[in-house]
Amino acid sequence: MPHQPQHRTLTDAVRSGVERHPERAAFVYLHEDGPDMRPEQLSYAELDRRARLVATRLRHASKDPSRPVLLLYPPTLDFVTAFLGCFYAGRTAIPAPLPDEPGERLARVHGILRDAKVGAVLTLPEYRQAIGAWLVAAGEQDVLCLATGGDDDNTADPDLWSPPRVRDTDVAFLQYSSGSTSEPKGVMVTHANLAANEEAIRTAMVTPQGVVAGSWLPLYHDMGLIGMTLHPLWMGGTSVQMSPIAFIKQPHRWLRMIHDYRVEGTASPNFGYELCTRRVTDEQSADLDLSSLRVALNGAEPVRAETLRAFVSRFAANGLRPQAVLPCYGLAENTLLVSSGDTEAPHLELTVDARALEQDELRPARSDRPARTLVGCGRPKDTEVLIVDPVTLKVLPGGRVGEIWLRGSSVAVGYWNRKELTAETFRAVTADGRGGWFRTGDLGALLNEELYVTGRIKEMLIQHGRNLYPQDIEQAVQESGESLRRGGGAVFTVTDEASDRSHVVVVQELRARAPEEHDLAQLCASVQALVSRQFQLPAVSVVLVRPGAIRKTTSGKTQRTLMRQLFLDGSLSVLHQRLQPAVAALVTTTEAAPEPAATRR
Amino acid sequence: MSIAPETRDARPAEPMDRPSPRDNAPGLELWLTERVAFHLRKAAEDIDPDTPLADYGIDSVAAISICGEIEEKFRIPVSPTIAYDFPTVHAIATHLTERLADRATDDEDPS
Repeated sequence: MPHQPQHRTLTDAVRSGVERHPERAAFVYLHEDGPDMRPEQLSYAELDRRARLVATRLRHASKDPSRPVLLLYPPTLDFVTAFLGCFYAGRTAIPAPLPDEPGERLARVHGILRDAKVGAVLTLPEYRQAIGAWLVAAGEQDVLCLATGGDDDNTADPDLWSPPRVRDTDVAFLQYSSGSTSEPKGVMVTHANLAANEEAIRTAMVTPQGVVAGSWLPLYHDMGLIGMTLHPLWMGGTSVQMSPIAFIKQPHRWLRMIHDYRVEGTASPNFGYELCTRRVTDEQSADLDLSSLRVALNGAEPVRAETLRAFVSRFAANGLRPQAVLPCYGLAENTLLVSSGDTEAPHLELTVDARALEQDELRPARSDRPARTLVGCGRPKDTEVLIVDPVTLKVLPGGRVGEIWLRGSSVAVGYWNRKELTAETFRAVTADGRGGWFRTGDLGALLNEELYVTGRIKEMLIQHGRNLYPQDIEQAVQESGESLRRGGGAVFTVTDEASDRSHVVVVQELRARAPEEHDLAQLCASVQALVSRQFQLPAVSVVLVRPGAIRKTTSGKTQRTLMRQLFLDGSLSVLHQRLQPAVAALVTTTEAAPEPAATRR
Repeated sequence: MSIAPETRDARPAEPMDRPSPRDNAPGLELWLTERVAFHLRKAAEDIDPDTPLADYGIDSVAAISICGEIEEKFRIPVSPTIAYDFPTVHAIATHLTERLADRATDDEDPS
């Protein structure tokens, strides 16, 4: 049942918190300080004052209020105050990671700048000069660059602030988490979407007023932003944060945070829980008390049953309640949450016949055939979910695997400035004429109302919760060397069924005059190094082929799924390759080509 | 309400062992090989100190994990990209040995 949201906008939520408990900590940020963590605290009153400053400066400095504001910050509380400042000014915010070095991220930011017609960039004082210079070099000199959190803040008077007039249908922020670098897609989240999803999370998690939530997730992505940063604000609570790097260096820091601050709600992709189980030592966990934890969401990448079990049993002695571990499903296009498990019941697991699953059906496992265990992502509560055949658009019955379609007040209004794509993906109609559905591109099934997510239709590569697009890697590879043919590449993943791990394969055409063989070995190594550095991807397997070997559709689109099949069947005519052992083992070959000895065929 | 955890001592309780880095370079490399093997889910004997870590399939999580372990053991700040900047176990070990030697010199001569 939809109910009246307790706040209309995030601004209202924070202002109400300021009135009721100005001294309460809205945020605690744990900074790495050698091996220890140094807390920085921000009260509701101070958060509000800083947000008013940012809003006043934005209104004063920037002429065109219709153009969005891009936020480029390292993981700090200054990001939060700038983000809220945009809300206070009634401006559309765009959270994005600070480009730390030339390459993927800078190209991505430039793509966003152009796509969104950004009017102003906000950053920290220490980056202002570099970003300003870069804007000029990129031909974006009309984009304003303001530094917050430094001396410049003194130029404004927070008392001059007046609340913005925003409509529910105004775009509150653009989330650029989906879409490739070459073609970024900004999800338009309105104030009404945000209110609807915060209320959906509140209902699903039974979040109490004044909740303490804490995580290490990036602040600019949906789970870290909507779930771990804005949800506690919405509930007048406290959000405790640390950077992803601080966590990965020492995973016990996350659990220590839960212990120290009596954290009630947290979230992470599957690999975060795996890291804790694998790396936290008995000594580190000896005195940990995790009994405060009511909700530990696991989402954003496939949820593994064995990870959940191992985490629960590893930390049971520390007071971790098994029912706290909640698999969930969500995405930026639905603001965040679609479905999650019940906070008072253990999650559901379903062991199915792997072969029937390949045929898109959930059937009970058989002893004579391979099985696969699926983890239930709970029941959709606020958002309507349909499972639809992606080709015939027929709505499928329970137990059948198809594309997950969504409808409801949390569904974003579309992609910024992309009418056609928005119409295709956000206004889909089923074969029997039901309209207004969003197509997720994810595959799943409903069984007894529980949602099981089984994979993705899109050719996106998901690595540690990051979404990577094959075309971005293909482009970077082709720009890296003269002998590599432009437009002649296919990047895809192959999955090792035994370990359920996926490996990235780069197939790349050479130009007509191919180099000598010893140069080919060198070329493979340099492609591998490039992808490793620029995309932080596990050593990819590299396959060099003749011009024309990459199959394309008549409209010129690379057929990556077909290329994967040809690769696995061993039917590519390979000039030279450098395969990871796990990948080489998957290829059906007449001549074995183990790494590192490369072969010419 | 104010949230402040119990403060913990910022310094390690026990002083760090600081053997002469030159003598202990093989020890350091052995330790590093063992930790790298752990993060790459391999046996230590399968890690060749001169083979690029990229060839073993290192990813960003493993690279940052190794950085965290080095920081904790030697109490020196290390770049999260160390495994990319120094691409083999041997290269990382040599780099660390030099830095630890610099630190030892600084400690002896605090001018």
